[in-house]
Amino acid sequence: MTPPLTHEPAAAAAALELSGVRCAYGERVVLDDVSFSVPVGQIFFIGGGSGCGKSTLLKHIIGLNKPAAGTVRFFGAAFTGADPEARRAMQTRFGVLYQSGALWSSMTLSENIELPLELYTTLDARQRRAVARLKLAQVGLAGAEERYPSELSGGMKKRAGLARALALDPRIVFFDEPSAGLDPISSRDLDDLIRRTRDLLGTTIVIVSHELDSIFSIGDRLVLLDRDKRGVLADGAPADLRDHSEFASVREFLSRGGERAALP
Amino acid sequence: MEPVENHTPAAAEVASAQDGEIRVTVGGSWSLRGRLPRAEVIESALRASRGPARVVVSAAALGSWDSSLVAYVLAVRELVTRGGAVCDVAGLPATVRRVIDEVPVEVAPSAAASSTPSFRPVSATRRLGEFTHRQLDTLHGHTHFFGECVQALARVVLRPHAFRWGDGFEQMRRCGADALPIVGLISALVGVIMAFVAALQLRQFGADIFVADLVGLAVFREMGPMMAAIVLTGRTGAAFAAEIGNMVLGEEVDALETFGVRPVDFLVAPRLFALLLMMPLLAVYADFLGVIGGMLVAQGVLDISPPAFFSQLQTAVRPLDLWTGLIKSVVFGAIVAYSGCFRGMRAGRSSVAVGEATTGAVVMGILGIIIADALFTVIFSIVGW
Repeated sequence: MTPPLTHEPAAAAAALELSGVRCAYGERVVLDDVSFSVPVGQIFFIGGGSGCGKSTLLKHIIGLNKPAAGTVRFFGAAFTGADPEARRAMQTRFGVLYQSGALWSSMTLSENIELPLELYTTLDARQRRAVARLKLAQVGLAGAEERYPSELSGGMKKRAGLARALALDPRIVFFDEPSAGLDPISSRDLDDLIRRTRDLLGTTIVIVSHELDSIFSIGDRLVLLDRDKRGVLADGAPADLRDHSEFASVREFLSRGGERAALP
Repeated sequence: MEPVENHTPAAAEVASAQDGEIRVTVGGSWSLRGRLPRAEVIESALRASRGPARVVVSAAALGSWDSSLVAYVLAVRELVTRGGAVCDVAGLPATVRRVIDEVPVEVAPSAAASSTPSFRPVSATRRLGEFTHRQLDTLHGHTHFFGECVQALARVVLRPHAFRWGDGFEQMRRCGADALPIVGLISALVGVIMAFVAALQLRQFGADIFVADLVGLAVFREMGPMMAAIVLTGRTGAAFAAEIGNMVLGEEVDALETFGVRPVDFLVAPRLFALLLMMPLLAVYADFLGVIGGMLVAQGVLDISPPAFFSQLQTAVRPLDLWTGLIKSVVFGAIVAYSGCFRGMRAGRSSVAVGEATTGAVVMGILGIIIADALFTVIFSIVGW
């Protein structure tokens, strides 16, 4: 699907750009001087061991927490420090799939998707329902419009969460640990779905995960965070990093999982 | 197809041809955030065409587009197929068709209507049966849970070393000490109100001093224990239901059971025990502050000095009046803890259900307190206390 061409900054700008971002809780600095830029249409992984600040970084990127220093830009426009109105407008342009799906439990799947459409678009009820049907069909949940989140399995909840994240045709979608709590087959299905979303819609995808299976199967690029360094340890194509990284720890981290991933 | 770089607004032209065919031509820039044409226009065109028609959707000078275009076409397709006509979208660009093809065609309206149960009339007998069944189920739940609570308390008494004293003291702090300000404020104000009402009446008869009798008896026998219990229902009973309900939701209660721990021992016993001990103490505290409130009004409005008020109070209030209040407060404590824990343990597994459990705990608690109070009044009057 072609991205909307109206009132957007230069199309050549990176989808997401971090420069010198510092994430801190009070005095405690978790990450410092994190900089990278993600080109449009890339499937970009933020990885690293437990406790390295992956999820913290995600929270700072999507605006749930405020970076202590540095800036976050979406498609060339500054997100950090923008006035609340502009921030809200930008937030409607990206989708987030939370770890548990975070569906609103008192609403049906269709209503979950229709709510953002009702808030931010001029679609009438029939068209909103049509968008909901479209999004659910895109994630393989056609016919589940009237079901409640409590009636779904873990994998279905994530699919439904993705359908909701895609409701407003975002140009960039963030995933927080998409494979957490999923069996290998559901996890692979979700990976396929993520790649298809990118191929079909041209959406930029940013995934926080340490699942090496997913990183090697769909990742275009990987940024590895390190707890001791409090920042980016390595940045590049996953296979390149595994084979040619200057750090032995990076090669080991990626190849051990790689072997495991190759097992049947 | 390469999108045309234009900023003309989204448009859909509907034209009826001679052969009963309706042509819909979409064009311009389609964005979810822009103004969009309505699909309903098709309905009037379909009505005008009389009889099954063919609707052909095609594109001309189509600029950028997103889900809004797909939603429009899907809405048109739904209207057309519902009317029994054929919808042909072959004239749209392949990229649009590829997205549309992912959505299955809506089922026929007759089939859809029969699958919606909301309008099916339910017979009165069936409703009565379901109601009775629900009530019996609740009754069974109550007897079961009540039995478990009694057993749990018996175990606390028989095997005190196995009781989780840390939890018990923590609960006592939360439902006892932390509740002192609000219980104190409300009790003092109730004392003030009662003294005011009494003062206005008693002054007419020159019976000013009897304000101490009235405030004293009412506070010790009724209002002290009752106000403390009602405040704790809203404060502590609701908290119990929400805490335990959330633990049920998070499978924490299941985890206890699989470890062979009785959830009632672990969750309910400390709370029940804490409230049984704290409620009488709070009742005494509420009595004290209620009397202080009455005394202040007596001094301010009726010019009765505090010593005179207290000596009159001593003649009016017997130790038995204090005891009846204390007996009530123990039972009220049990009711508050029981309703909070019962509703929490039986909460469903959704955030709505946890909210319902909290509401249910407060309603059940207050209702239980009022009913118990009425029973006590009857019993005490028979016994002559």
